[in-house]
Amino acid sequence: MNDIEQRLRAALDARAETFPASPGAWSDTMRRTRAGRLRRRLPLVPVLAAAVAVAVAAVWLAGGRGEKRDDTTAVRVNGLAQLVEKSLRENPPVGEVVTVPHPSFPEDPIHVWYSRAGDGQLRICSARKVTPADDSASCGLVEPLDKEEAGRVAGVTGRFPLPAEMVAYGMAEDSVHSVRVTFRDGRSFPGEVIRGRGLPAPVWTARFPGDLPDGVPVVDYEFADERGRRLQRLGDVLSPPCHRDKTPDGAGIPLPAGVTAHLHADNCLVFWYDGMAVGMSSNHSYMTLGADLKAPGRFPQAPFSVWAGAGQAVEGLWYGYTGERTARVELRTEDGRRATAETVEGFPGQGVRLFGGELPEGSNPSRDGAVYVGYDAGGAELWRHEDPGHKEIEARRTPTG
Amino acid sequence: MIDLQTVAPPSFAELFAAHYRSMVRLAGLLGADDPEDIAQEAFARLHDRRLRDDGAALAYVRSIVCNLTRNRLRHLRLVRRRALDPPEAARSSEHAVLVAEEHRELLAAVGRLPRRQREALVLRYWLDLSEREIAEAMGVSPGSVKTHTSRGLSALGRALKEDS
Repeated sequence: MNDIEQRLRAALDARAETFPASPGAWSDTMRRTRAGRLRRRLPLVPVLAAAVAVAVAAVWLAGGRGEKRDDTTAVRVNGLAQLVEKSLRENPPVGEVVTVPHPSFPEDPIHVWYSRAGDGQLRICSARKVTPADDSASCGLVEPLDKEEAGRVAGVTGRFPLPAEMVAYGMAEDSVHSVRVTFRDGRSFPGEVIRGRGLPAPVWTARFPGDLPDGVPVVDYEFADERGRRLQRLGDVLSPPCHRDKTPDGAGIPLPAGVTAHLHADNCLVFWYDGMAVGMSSNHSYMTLGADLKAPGRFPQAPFSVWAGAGQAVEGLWYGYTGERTARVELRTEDGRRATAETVEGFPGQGVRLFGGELPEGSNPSRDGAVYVGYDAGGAELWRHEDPGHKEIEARRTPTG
Repeated sequence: MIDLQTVAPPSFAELFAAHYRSMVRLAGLLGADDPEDIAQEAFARLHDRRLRDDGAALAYVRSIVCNLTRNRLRHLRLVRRRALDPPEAARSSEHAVLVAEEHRELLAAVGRLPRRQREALVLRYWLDLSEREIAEAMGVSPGSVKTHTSRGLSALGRALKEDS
């Protein structure tokens, strides 16, 4: 190699070092993919859904309790049922509505159905619970399929807070007779192909453990025909928890009872307790109050996000974040007890205030339900939100007499 | 002995993790004004294309980066021509500090090379690709790669002599 070649190598190496790669590159790239573009068309539906769920609760509470609003405790309104009804009305089903058990919310199955878009193209729609406070519904086109496609993914349940199991579901071609989920460490889990009454195409569903192998959270869906021949292996990178890129840096913002809030890359707000991440703003920023939502009119905002009680948060604690105008959040348990948390300033640019504290002894809002009320600095009520507890919903569904 | 039948091909995510940064750098070295934009678009196209032959994926991404950068530079040239008195895109002060003084003269000469010569040199001397791989990335024949590389090196030699 001559002198100029050596110098050229050194110069190119030096220059190359000056081009950085942003930490958000993966999510930015995924947004550009066909699947990402499809997903980008969907948020309007889930956002409206979340807003509707909140609005329904607020209207019901305000109307139903009238002047005695302050005496309100946990009032049950099943937000998901309302959402399913609305979504089915707006996206009439073609064939039956398939219900898929939701591993994180056993009493609220995922609803999956086909519908036709205005131009007649087939869509697959689904509605499910995302968090105890948020429900989501969306539809996505499944026509036309590329010739190498045997199926598409319509949804995967969330990975946080570390569910024991997850479920994926979607549309399958007629030729598909079996589906498996495989992990890169060799584990494999059989799914199910459902050929329901009047369905224009089968629905596939697969349940698998939440403890994905270390590294990039990727799973493969393998579709096979009736003779077991593989038709397609479809890789899917599940949204990694947004705190994955680094451990907490700096002191963070301390909240009562030992919880600390930290800001991670991509405006990801994470609550830490005893060295563990115990709550974080959703990767789907349209469902949260994250910095992306500061642009006026972009999305309706949920009034708050909360983690409360065993199974959802650190046992005995509640914590979360809410809008900048909220100075105090009150929690009212089903048996009438109350807890109050003053909000503290959040991280610059996020547009949220943080709160947290101890729950009334023995209470578990995620199980038993609660009403949350937000107040401004002058004590005026800004919002209220009802979280139906799993126990009550279960009881209502149990046949009586 | 490795049983090739049981070695899983790299997933899209693994390819991304292993090569995203170098694709950003490749786009930057080829003169892209927003190298990350180019790299992300290239990987998004790879994702959508779902190549059956995973081994071809990296070659595909490289060729997309070259193509997109070429298109981008063409677009920028047209934009600058339309503007009556276009200012040359200023390098950031960060770049100026980061690139050592000793390399500046040579890099400036690389920047003045015709597009194909520059591509051939970057792919050869930064990515260490073979002539066949460079030809694939540039969409030309291996013979053309030889020509562009040779002419590029000669041009650099002349430029450095003239400057010294």
